[in-house]
Amino acid sequence: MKKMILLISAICFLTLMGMAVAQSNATSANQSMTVLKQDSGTNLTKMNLSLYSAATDFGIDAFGVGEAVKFTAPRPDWNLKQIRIAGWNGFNRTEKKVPSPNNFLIEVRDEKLNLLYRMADTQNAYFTFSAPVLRAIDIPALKVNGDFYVVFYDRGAMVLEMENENATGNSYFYDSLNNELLPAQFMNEMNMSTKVNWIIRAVGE
Amino acid sequence: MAEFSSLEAGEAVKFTAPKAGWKLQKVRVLGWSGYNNSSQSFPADRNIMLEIRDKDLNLLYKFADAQNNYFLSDAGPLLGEIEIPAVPVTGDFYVVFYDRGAAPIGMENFNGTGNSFIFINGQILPADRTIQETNETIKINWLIEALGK
Repeated sequence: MKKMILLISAICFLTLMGMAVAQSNATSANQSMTVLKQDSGTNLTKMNLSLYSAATDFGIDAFGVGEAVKFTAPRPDWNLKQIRIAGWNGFNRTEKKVPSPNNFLIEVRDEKLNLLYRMADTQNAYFTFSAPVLRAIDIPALKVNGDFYVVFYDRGAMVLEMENENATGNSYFYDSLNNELLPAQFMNEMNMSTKVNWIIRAVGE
Repeated sequence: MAEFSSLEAGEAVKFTAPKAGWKLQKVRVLGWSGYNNSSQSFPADRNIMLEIRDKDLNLLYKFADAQNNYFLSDAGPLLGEIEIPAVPVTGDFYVVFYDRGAAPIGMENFNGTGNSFIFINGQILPADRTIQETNETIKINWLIEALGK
């Protein structure tokens, strides 16, 4: 619990509005593949972005809550081969201090939320950069049809980029305990709700 | 509760699919990652691993993740549930749990059904314990459940 509270504090401290996202070299590979986006599609360096962790709102329950984006396969039996996540582990280049290793989790679910694929790995292996990075994570080719969801569980181990405007309505929270989706939206001080886009992309052919 | 110091040893249970085309969707393991009452803290994340193998021990599915995501409790062992993509299984199959010293697994000390094993280096060995006073060998049961439809 102490660890989680510290993580929450650290993450709350990292509210860096409009922070530019560096693009990992890995994302430029496989140019022939199709990249599905459910954010505004604006160049990331010009997007209105914030950093978010589910631990901020869900505390210890963040283990079971993921940031989800709904995509639609461009054709039947489309092969999902790569997932791109814009995130950061908070690495401080000046202090050269890499955070304690903790796992994030990625799931792919079909339109009925049935689990199709799952992988977990340490955040430091992908997101140790001096700023948020759009990181490509290869997965074994997975045939998807129609709508499908990519779910990313940051677990308080790292932060995910979210676009604060131009919401497309395809970003959600996925509550794995209750197997349900909730719209990704936040209330501001004026009690107005704002929908956001998670910067998660699906790549395949 | 039991754990093995070897990172390569897994606690395995043999199940039989109830019908042809049955799909395994979840595995439940009685385990615990521990809790330090003095410092009121949980242990650091360490990975456990889960495997599904067919009757010939061919690997069908593999997944590793931090133990605290499934076995976090300040009140003792719990039945942690690990969801897996539906794996079609036919006839006998094995669920293998590698505690890796991160999450000891619950075991039933008596009434062994003969379906619990240690899986190590490709070999499947009976899971049993020896009572020192009588030198009697007693089979045990790992508390692992397989769920599907």
